[in-house]
Amino acid sequence: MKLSPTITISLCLNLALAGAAVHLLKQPVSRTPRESASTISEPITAPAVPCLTASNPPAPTTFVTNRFGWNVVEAEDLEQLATNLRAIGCPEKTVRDVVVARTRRGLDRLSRSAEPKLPFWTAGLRRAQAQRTAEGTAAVARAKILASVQRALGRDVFIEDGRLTEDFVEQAIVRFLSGPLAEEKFSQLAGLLARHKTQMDAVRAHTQGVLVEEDETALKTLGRQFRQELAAMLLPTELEELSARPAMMKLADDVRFDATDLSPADIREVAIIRAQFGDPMMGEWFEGGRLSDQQEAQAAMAIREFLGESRYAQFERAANGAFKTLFDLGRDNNLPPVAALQAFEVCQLTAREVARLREDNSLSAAERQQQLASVQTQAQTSVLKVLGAEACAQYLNRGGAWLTNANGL
Amino acid sequence: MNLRTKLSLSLNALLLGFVIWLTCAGPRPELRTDASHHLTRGLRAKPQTTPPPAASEPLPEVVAVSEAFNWAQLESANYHEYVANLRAIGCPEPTVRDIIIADVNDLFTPRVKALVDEVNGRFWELILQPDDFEKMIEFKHDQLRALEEERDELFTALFGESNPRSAENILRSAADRRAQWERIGDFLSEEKCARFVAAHEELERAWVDCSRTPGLTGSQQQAKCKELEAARDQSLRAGLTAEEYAELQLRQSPASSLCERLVGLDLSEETVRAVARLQFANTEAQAALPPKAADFKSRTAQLQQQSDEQTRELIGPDSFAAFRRATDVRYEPIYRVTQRLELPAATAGQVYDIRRQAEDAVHQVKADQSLAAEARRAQLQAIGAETRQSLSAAFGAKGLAAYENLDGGWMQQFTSFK
Repeated sequence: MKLSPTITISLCLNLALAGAAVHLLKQPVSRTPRESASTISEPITAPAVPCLTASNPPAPTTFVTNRFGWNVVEAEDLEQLATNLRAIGCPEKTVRDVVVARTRRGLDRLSRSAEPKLPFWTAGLRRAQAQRTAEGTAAVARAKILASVQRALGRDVFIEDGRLTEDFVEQAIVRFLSGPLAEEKFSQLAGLLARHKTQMDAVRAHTQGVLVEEDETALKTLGRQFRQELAAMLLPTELEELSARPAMMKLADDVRFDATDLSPADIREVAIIRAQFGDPMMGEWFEGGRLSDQQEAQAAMAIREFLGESRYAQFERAANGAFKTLFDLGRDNNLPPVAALQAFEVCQLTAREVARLREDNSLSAAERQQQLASVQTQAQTSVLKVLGAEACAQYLNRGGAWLTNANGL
Repeated sequence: MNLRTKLSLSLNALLLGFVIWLTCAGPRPELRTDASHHLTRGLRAKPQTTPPPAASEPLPEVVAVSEAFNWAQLESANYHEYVANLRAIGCPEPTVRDIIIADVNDLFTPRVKALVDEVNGRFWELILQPDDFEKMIEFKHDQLRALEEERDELFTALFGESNPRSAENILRSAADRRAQWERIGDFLSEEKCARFVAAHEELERAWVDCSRTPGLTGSQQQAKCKELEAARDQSLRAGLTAEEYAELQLRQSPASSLCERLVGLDLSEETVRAVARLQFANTEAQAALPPKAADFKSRTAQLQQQSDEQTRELIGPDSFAAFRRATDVRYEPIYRVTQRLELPAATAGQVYDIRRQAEDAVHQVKADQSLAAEARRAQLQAIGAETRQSLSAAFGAKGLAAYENLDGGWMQQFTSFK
């Protein structure tokens, strides 16, 4: 059979193309750089089927797989580690957990190795000098680690973040003091708090415990930044609640609000006012911030204006140590609330009378003494009448020593 | 063109298209993955057995199985599986634990939130009811503790211990202690130092065993510990010279903390060691005094005086004055402020003297019974004003502010006197 040149060429081409297709199909799979890096050619022999008596047994089959090994992603460098983990589809949360845990471990190692290697009896200036040098080196290493974490995870991740999830009690306290927040916002808040703490610690770290004006300014600036970031993150009502609750924690330690007629809304407003004069988030957040004497005075004036004279008097009394003692005593002895109030009034009247007698230069020493004794007797009678014998006896050992020594007032 | 030619040309086109597709598209990894994934999993799951030797060994067939790895292959809703998968790929144990700890903690987060949410809206109401507030806190605390216990049980099931980091922590503190012992024994030969460190580690292990021995009372345990310590000392003493043993005793005594307390002083190592030896001897001598003896106080004071005189003789009168100052707790904060503000070296001593003089003056005024209250108050205020002025001159306004912030409490005695 004679074939035309066209069909001959076509058939040859068919053969060549078929050959090429078979070759391509048989070719080993191409690997992405990551895959080839991850390949660990570890032979795994297929489970052997018990060999019967075949005279012509099948050839043993060895599967060579690229079974994955951790050493493929392992890296000293945190940024590289994060990149490697992401490349194999590790969820961002897990990448973060691994990197943060390693960072903490690294920082811990660093702080434990920061002690300089010195001859045992080195002391004084030489020791201090060596310590300063070692601390400087450690600080550089620490900064390097933290910069690496930031590059690996972004600037909004801080190594303290995870601690809140580990300690359930602390987490609960922060939640309770933050007020109701959506979970996403709470996570952001936890991150912000962690970053704020890290930054404050960094300022304090180089002060050797000695805070100078610049440090105070730097801390205040950080506080302002923190507040601005909070304001950007939260609704005004959320921010108000977040400021008021920690401020109240400080107040609640000092003031027996249950001895006043104030409502929950009133005391919330008092806390909001107080928060305006200091920044509860400036120092230790849970402590509710500390106010300077001047700030305390300004806050008191504003609270007085809000409450009005009568209720402010209650508020002031509820913060008075002598009143709080009497209030607790009354409750312990199931006395009506008015009893503590009346006993406290007696105490105050007596104190005023004693002060007046002390200042009265027209009196001789003997006359003054006599009058003081008379005031004291009257006070004893009144308090005994108000508190009753049993509570009065207890009072003598619970802050009521003035009843037998009015001079002490 | 006949039919055969047409067919052949069509086949040309088809084959060409197929070859181009194979070249451009390449193999399909997802199919590969699925296939090899099942295969590899299957192989992993079955025990590996060695095939019995065949009569005539055919050539082994090698099949390359390629698998694109994805983290999802490790994850499992079952923590046991997740841990096993992580370990199977050689993930370091601390990292396995880091991953699982974080994951488990996250698992509990919504439950913590739920517990708080129950009372979150009652914050202001509870402030007005302190007793209820306290009860609520206690109740929530118990609930949170229960959650933590539940988590710890899960950790125990996964890692055999409620704190998955405890092994790591134990290793770390053991390494710290070892470094500490090595530092104490660094003057010994390598072999002797190793023996010293080993003896300490052995003693610690024995203490732990002793504390875990059931049925021993507290005093029995104490006696046993003393016995173990004595045996360790005896064995150490046998392998060391008398000087080496004495040096070890000194380095392990409280007197060795002198190195950390000599603020701002420049003494040679040999001098510091000699002073520490004097202090150690003094402490030993004081400890030997019967505490109930009538002259206990006077004899203690006498011993202290002797020790001071010996120290003065050893380091010279000038250095001794600096030594006394350097070990005075009042000096350390002053020194820190001068260091922080990079003030001249003499400033710290100057400020220290101002404080001492001021305190002496206050003491005298307070002790003077002839003074009326007003006069006493006026004198104290005058001392206070003068002291403040002197401090400000020495420290500068910035330094004084920092010092007051750090350790200014003592200055209140000028104004708070009744």
